[in-house]
Amino acid sequence: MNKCLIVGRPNVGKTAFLLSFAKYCGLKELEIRVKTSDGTTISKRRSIDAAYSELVQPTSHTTQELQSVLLDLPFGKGQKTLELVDSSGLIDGIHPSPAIRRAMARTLEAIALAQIIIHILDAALIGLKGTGEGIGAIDWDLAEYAKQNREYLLLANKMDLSGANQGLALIRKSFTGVRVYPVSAKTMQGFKEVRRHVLRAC
Amino acid sequence: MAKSFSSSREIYQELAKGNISTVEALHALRKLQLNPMTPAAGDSRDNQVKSDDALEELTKLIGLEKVKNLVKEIQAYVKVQELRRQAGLKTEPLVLHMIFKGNPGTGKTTVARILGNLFKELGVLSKGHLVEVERADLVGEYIGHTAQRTREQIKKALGGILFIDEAYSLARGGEKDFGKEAIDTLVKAMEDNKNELILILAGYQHEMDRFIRSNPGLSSRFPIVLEFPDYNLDELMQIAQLMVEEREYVFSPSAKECLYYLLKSLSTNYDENSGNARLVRNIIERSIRRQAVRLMAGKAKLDTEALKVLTEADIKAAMEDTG
Repeated sequence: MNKCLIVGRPNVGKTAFLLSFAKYCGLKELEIRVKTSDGTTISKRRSIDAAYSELVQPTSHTTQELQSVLLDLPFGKGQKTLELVDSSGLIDGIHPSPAIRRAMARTLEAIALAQIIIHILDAALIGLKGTGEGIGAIDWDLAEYAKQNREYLLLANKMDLSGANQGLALIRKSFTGVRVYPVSAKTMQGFKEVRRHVLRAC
Repeated sequence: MAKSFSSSREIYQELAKGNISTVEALHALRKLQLNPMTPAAGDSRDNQVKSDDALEELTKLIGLEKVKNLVKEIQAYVKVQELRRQAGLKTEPLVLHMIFKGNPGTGKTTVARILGNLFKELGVLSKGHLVEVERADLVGEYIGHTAQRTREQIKKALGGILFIDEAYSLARGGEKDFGKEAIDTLVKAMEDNKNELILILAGYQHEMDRFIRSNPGLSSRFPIVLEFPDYNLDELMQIAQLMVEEREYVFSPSAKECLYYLLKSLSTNYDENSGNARLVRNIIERSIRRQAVRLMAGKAKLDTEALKVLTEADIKAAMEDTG
């Protein structure tokens, strides 16, 4: 089974993208599998909306475990099952909380195991700052690391917000040689292209 | 950052402990990945190797040159369709339902099983298993029962291959026979589950030809027809050789000669089992048992050599059993 990992800094909308993308692919109810730090897997069933209000929060590091959903996508004869994995946000420096540091280590570990990496940037935030500094050091390194040996997609999220267009232009200028997909986890804008790319990569 | 790590595990641990920042961890991981000492095998390469495995298994079979070529053709076709899809070009739908024609023991089931593995590795089928059925498994006892039973078998085969042996017998009983109902259910299932099921109809050459002629809708739905010719004498001998080698036995020279003439006399007598690998297997397995009896009855010392050799007497005794 293909693993597709969603990575990015805190609060760029990784979980929102996961839930919204699952909805876009036709799922109404989710079976979210959460892998806890001791290796056990907890499974919970939620409707998309319930999951959204439970899992998506305005605070940093809402997601501290790897949580995944299975998506069935049509492929050739038959279906390809894709495991879409949501990860904990990555920051530049050393985080004071051991729990979050462990969560980040697990995220890096998951990158090595994934075939497809979806790297999400907050286009609105980058547009707001107006310069390249909205893109953190972690994003550069993440892109460089994740690009090797696997499919890599760069998503400029929050395109529904004002200022996101400038952000998108900045991202495109900064990450040359990488295809950037403008999306909005809220309005599902740009999802068609992302799905096509993911399917091709499976 | 200057610190170098020998394994990615070490990097994760350092990060979790707070000894290095995430950026440093990523740097270290990248360095480790660029290092050729830790080769990361690509997934697609894996698939390539596996589908070649399935193909190699096929190549090992004796004879069947036409079948092998066709399978290679199918493999190339599937791969090219996939590449075309990736390039955004128009693709043909993959219709891979097949008809296998040939006498018993000519390798139909064996090839079907290999195809299942091959299609699984190519990503055409999700499971690639083979469900072997015959008329009795599909046809029911009362009206409505047949559709139900047939659907059950189809359900079992989803993600793999449904192999219907002696498929012509489904059309045997005429209009009122339930076999017709089974055919209709199968045709419908082929349309409904066209992405998850490959159907193979197998049977004798003539019977299958008649069966397909009598059901005009079938030939268009089964674009691939493979003919399994009878094995000739040389091929049968090669098969016999392979079979004994696999079982770690050897023929004595006279045993080999004896088997040769035996198979030859069968083929000149137009025995329906001539050209049949199953017959060869039966003879060999029986002579292996005969050898065991001979060894136990004799007083000679049983060294490795004696345990391995099949003699002329073993083959003859085996043939007498067969009649």
